[in-house]
Amino acid sequence: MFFLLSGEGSTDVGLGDHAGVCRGADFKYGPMTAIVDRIVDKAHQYSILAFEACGFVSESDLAGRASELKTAKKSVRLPGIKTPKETRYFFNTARVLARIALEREAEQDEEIIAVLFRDSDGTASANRGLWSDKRQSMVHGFEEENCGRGVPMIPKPKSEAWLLCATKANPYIDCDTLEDSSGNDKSPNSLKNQLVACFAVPPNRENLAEMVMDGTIDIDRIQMPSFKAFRDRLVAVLV
Amino acid sequence: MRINSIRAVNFKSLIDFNLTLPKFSCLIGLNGSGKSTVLQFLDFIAQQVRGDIKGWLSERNWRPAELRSRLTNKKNIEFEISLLTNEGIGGIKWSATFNPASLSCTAEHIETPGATLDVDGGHIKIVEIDLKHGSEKGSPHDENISFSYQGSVLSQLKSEILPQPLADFRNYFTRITSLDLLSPELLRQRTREAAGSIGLGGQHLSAFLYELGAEKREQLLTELRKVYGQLAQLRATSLRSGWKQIDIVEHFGKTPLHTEARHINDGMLRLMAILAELETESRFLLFDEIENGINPELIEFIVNRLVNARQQVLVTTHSPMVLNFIADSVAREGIIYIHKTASGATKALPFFSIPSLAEKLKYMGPGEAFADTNLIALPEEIAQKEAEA
Repeated sequence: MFFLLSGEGSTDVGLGDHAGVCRGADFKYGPMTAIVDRIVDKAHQYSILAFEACGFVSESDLAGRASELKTAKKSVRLPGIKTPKETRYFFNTARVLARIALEREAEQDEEIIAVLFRDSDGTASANRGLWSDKRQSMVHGFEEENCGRGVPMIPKPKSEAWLLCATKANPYIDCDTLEDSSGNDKSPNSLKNQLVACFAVPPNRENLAEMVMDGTIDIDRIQMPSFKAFRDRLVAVLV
Repeated sequence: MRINSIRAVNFKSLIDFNLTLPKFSCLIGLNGSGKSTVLQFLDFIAQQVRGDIKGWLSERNWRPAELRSRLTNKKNIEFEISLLTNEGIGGIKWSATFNPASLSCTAEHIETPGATLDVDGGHIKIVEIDLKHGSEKGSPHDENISFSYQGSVLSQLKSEILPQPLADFRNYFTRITSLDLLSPELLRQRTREAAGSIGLGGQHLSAFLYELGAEKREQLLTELRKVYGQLAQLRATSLRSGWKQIDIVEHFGKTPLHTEARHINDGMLRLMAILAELETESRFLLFDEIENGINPELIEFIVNRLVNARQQVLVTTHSPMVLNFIADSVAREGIIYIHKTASGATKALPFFSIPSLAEKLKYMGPGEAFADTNLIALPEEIAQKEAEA
């Protein structure tokens, strides 16, 4: 079993040293990959990072492959009762990662679990649209490509909310309300600033990932609907 | 020569409006955002050079006071237009102040690489410039304006006193064609004369096709056949009374079917009007709601023709399908989002310069990105983008 992960920026899933699937030393993993590792380890006592059973696809590689979806100009998928607005991006990103995962699965004859990370309030939606619709669109995107092991990883509104919930002094209390915070980093008391205030040193990809791995950031403390939806789906595809 | 940018102050909802126009542009936005006003403004500018502002207002059923914004106390309309030469070089500019009471530009400055024109306080000065030495060529034409005129003073100046660069400038603006009120009923009308234009609503189409001549009508027929395979003939005939009439012959199997204009379908008439305009000497074509009456199968054809036209083209649309047939490279600059601020002023910005839309364009076509976006909530992101800038 191999995990193929893709995210938005280096401080979530991580970054790669080159184009294409990066693994081992070429994959500088971030805190969201560490979270995947911890959940898998807890369920199966198996570290995907220690066994190099994971690879990374950059956002630019994903966007590069997206041109395949843009060729059929007449097939405009219109929003409507069944397809809410501000969801198409999540649907299409899932389709592209699913295609890459299925190609690799065919080449290497091993099961691939595709984990796609996007902030609910990321660049592509700028606080418009509902988290549940975006997540559902990602599910539909994996299904559209017949990828049965696709996992949407969509924090609401963004990854800082999950990390804050796992770090704050009173876990289990008010974590739900974090999901209603603004995802704008420039807003007063932004999630990003709140997370910075939690640590003695400025958080970055490397130290956040380390803290997830060593339990300083305790993911068992994250009691948020957006995290639960992700964890439950990940555990389900492990079976 | 083509328009590079426009600035309008106090024209209807264009209170302080700036727009950069590439060779092909497509305005999108919610109803009432001001898309049609932008087209009307460009036609208004062209009319300055043609004169007869009264006739222009009458054709639209407008009063002079309705040209001004109702949101300001300013009396005059100001505008600035910058143009590029055919080689893409700038340096051609026109700024003016239009007085709705006198229906004329009371102050004007036109700057071209080879000549300048200035109007101020009832006085006109035309200077020709020697491009080699950068100095004035001959004596300037300098006089008090003793004649009456509507729009720009250019509308009344004799060709003899205009240096070539200013004559070219005037010629360009007389060849801006706006079809912002194209209507099937008007397209079906018989008419006597077209004078080089199908008219704002298409009312001169029959005479226009007649005056186009057999060769250009044949070219038009060839174009139409690409999407209407059964079309055998396109005829424009002059009746005894001087009225011009269009009719077509279609072949269904071996049976030829003759149809007069009043029974031709709306879509074919609109397509005929648009393709006919592309065959003219027009330099800048403006079409409002290009998708009206055109079935989806023809959209790709018409978008390709407009994007690759010789002329500069500006269209408006509400159709995701129209947008989806525009290449990403053209869409980035050419699809322009028109919106209103909280104070009611119309503003414009390239749709895909909005960060969320730039991100979406990586993963979907321009039309899909447009259809997927909640335009009502978009001003929030635009305001944030502007605040950060």
